Amino acid sequence: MRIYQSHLGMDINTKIFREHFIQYYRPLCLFALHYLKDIDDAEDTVQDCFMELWRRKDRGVDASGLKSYLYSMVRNRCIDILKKDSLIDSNVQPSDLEEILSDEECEEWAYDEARMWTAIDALPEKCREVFLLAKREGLKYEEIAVRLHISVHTVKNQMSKAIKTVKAGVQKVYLFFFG
Amino acid sequence: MKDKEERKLQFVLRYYTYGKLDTQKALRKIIGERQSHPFGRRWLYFSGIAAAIFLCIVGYHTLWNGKEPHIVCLTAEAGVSRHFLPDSTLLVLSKGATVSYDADTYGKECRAVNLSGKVYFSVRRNVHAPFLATSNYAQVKVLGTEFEVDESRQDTATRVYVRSGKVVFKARYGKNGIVLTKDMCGVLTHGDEMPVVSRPALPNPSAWATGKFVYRNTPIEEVLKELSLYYGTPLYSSAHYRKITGEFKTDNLEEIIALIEKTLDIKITKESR
Repeated sequence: MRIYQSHLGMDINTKIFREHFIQYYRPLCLFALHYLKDIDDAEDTVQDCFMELWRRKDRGVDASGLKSYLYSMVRNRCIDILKKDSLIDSNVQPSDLEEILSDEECEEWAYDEARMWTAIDALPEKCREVFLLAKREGLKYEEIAVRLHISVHTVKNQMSKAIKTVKAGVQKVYLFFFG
Repeated sequence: MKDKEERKLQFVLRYYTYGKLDTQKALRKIIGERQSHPFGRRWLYFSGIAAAIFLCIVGYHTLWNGKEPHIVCLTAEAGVSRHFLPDSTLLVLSKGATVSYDADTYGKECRAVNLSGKVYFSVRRNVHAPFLATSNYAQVKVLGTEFEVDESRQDTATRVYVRSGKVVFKARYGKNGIVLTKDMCGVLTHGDEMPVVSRPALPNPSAWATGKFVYRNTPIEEVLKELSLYYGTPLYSSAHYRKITGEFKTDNLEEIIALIEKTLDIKITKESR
């Protein structure tokens, strides 16, 4: 289950570390979230992993295998955390809101989810508010209009804009980094 | 397909909080924190080095008297002590044990150390420089692993216990040795040409160095036998044929007993002499 590789050649310098961090931080957080179900725990776990990587970056880690290394590192930590909490249930698997995911599936999902997160983050403030009220709270357009003191027409406009952005964010070839 | 996208979105929305998962902020935290964050660990690390340097100086003056300036010698006179070698390999020396190595050549092609007494090693992996531990009678060669060499009973035999990884164990001047892997134990009777594989007498021979007892489905009798020997107090259980799985720190026997009693619902008695 545990995968450790610490002896591989090719130094990763600060630049490679930064690039990997920027590229994989959010996907890894969402990946961890599928296990831990707590946003702060997930973020802490991923940061711990990067911290460890940073500490031993001078000792050399294979840059080409770094991505899968990071994922296994995060997975192992999540499993450790969950196992510590429950001594009985030793079968730890990631899941979304409905069902259990396989590890590979989870990695792929986390990637898409990170893009969605980034897309939502990038929405204008009002637009994001409307989007969250509608999608998360399940409010009707009329209710949102009343709550935010705007017209139903505006709500509709904002929603179509938000949905377009988020969808585009997911479908777009992955060119931008998760900033 | 659509359904999947919707499920992903719902998952994101469940946890979405504006301002969380801020990549730049997190990056600054890690790269910027490298000087200050691991203070606790650094402190331990440096104190280890400081202790090692101190012992080097002491050892150097007492044992080598300035004639061999490049040999570093570590001794544990007061009790169990921990040292780091230049490549971050950790040594735990039991009372009376010594380790010496040549600071000039260590890590160049090979990491060679000489030892006497009982020493636990956690070797930093390095394929280019094998680690070679030589005692009066035996020699152990490794790439990176955790193991223990016990030659404290000078007159009988040298014992090597491997906690993880793989080592080659041979007599000091012998040609062939045996390969030991995780949880295996080798014994070299002094005078013999080859060591032999044996079962470790106890589940955690290196508990003195690692500070931990780890049990996986271990019979309670075996656990109590180990604890009795470790703490020097005979312990008896009210029930037999019970098994325990768990991890205990070595620092407090009372706590371990209380935990086992509670878990297995048994009574453990200490013999009062």
